[in-house]
Amino acid sequence: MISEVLSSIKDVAIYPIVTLLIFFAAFLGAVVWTLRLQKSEVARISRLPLDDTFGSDHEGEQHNG
Amino acid sequence: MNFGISWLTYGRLQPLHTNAVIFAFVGNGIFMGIYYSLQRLCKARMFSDMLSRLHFWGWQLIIVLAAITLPLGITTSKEYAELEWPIDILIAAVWVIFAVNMFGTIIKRRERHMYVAIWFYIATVVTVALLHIVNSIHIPVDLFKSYPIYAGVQDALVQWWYGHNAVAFFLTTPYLGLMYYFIPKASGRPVFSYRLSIIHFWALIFLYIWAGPHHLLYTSLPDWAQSLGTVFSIMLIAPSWGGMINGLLTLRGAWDKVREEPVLKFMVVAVTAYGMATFEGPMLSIKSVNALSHYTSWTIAHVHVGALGWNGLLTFGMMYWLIPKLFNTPLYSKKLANFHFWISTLGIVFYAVPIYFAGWTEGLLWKQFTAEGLLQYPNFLEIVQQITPMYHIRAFGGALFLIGVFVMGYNLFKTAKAGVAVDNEEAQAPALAAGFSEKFNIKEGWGHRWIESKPMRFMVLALIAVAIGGLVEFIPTFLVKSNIPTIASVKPYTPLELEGRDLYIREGCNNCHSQMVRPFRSETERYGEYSKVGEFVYDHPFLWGSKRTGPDLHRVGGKYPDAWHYQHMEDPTTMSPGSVMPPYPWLITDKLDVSNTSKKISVMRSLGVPYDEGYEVRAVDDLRMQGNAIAKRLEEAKIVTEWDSEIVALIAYLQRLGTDIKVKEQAGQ
Repeated sequence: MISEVLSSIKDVAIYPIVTLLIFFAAFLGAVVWTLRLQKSEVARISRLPLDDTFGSDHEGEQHNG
Repeated sequence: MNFGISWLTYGRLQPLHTNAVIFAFVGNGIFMGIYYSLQRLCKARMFSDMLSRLHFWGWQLIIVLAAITLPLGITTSKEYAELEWPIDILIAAVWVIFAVNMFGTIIKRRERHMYVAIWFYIATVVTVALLHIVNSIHIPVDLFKSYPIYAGVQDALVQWWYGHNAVAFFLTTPYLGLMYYFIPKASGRPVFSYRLSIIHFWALIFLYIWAGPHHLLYTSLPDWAQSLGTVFSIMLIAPSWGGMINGLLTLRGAWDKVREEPVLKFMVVAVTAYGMATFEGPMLSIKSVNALSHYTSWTIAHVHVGALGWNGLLTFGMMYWLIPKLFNTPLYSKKLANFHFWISTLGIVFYAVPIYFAGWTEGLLWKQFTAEGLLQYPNFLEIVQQITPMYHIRAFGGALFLIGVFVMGYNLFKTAKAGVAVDNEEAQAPALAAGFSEKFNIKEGWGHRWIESKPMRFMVLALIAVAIGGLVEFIPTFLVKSNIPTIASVKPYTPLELEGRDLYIREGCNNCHSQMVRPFRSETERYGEYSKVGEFVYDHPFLWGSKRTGPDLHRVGGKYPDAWHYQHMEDPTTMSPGSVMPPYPWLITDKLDVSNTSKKISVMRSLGVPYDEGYEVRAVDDLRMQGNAIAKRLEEAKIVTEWDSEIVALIAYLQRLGTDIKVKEQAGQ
């Protein structure tokens, strides 16, 4: 039954394959980006919960000010 | 046991229990943790104190309304979505308030990076909104009653897409976010691997949404959808364990602190429970395992490891860490907190282990055949009685856990009394230089940064990631509708049966009885012909159930005489000695409310149920006629009743159940 519906769509087999490729590419992109992150940056952002300073030495200032 | 009081019936209280655990306990736990951590991670105060207050009181109002309406039998019957449509709208409104407040805070944040915990919060807010809205599309009959637009297999698929992802995006993702904040906080160490947290976040939210059909294995759901559910569930082990490992390894080199700090003890066992539950979940999604586990107490044990262990203990850990901070004083008693830790851990063990055994016992005995090929336990009750002692041990475990909660309450109360509430804590950093994010995009190029610097963009991407899974499963299943060879003999319910069905929903019968005979010999021997997808096309909502505390009812129609049902509902033990089903005396004394019957027929027709145009006018007459016929049959069995007592409607429905295809068989012979 379900195959009848699906077979009525032209070239239906291409859709799941395209979807798979897109998602796999996106996932790979995330992995590559993650691996290429700078060590110092990772160290900084992973300490965010521990950073309770709210004074003027806040790093956002340093980076952008 | 309900002392003859309708609102104390298990069928009505069970949904209250699940709703209270999920939306009251865990919901408030989420909000508590998010309101604390979000402001500190964004280095900005909440967007609007007014919205925070509206959110808090709105949510508590929803909980109160749930506690009132569910025992009154005002329910949609869909698990964890039982609340009727006016409350659903209120939930949506309060959720939007929360979302605006949260995104407002993230947008005005004074820390350029969105820490991983915030991603989990965003995924939670977006996905819960999506799930809640899609699953709650109902057409109202009146203020207290509505029918879902989906029927049968489609309703089942949408419901379990929702139900499973309520687990994923209400009980899991927000708590992972909290884990990523509070474990580093309590241990004074950064998360083990920030890179792992990124990868496991995207993998988790993408995979989770597909897994819903594993709640419907071996049902009438099309096979391909079942397989999708299984495959994605098994893949889920990877990101789930990624999170667990990341949480536990955060404590590497700090295990000495775990020995001394009750906060960390709670968190370690919580994350361990998360790991166990997310290993077990995929295993239960394997069809051959599910064949044994489904409808048994095994699932109940599984969810309690998650709820008591993961959600419960992580919440307790958070509270032991937060309350002293909020009152600027040390914890009143570390000793009591340690006692709480041990008694709650033991409580979980005493709770879960016997229920696992109960589940295996049920699953195995249901399927046990004698050497001659007959069911060894044809009497369902015999199996129920086998597991009663395990239920007693389970109650003991639950009591231990509860004692722990009271001890915590006392401990935290004393702590709060000793300190002074810190109404406002500095959490705001100076403003970032204007236009920082644009500048920084150009400078650092195209990467994850592009996503995470803009919360709205992040939200849209998260939404796409979760929406795909739903669409791929829904679209074909919905397209099938017009192509399903509707079984010709399957007809809409008569008005009396429809009213009886609504009583079945009101009493929560579906919480203990399934209506889905799986295609196993052990089930067709016990219950009759297995259930076909075409038999449910007029079922708004579907009532397949997910637990068999009592036997399946899909083929109960015509199995017993009307008088049997009458007496069984009045006092189940007269017909089934040793039955654990509560009595329903009010069904016999209360009159059926037919004031809405015409409206119900109209609503059903608007949903595609083929009642003739204008049938609603004659519906009550037909109802009376059928009611009188049943009353007459009961009279022959020396039972005096009126056509309009509730029991008559319920009997009409029960006698109709699963009989449509029998008509066909007889006609064919």
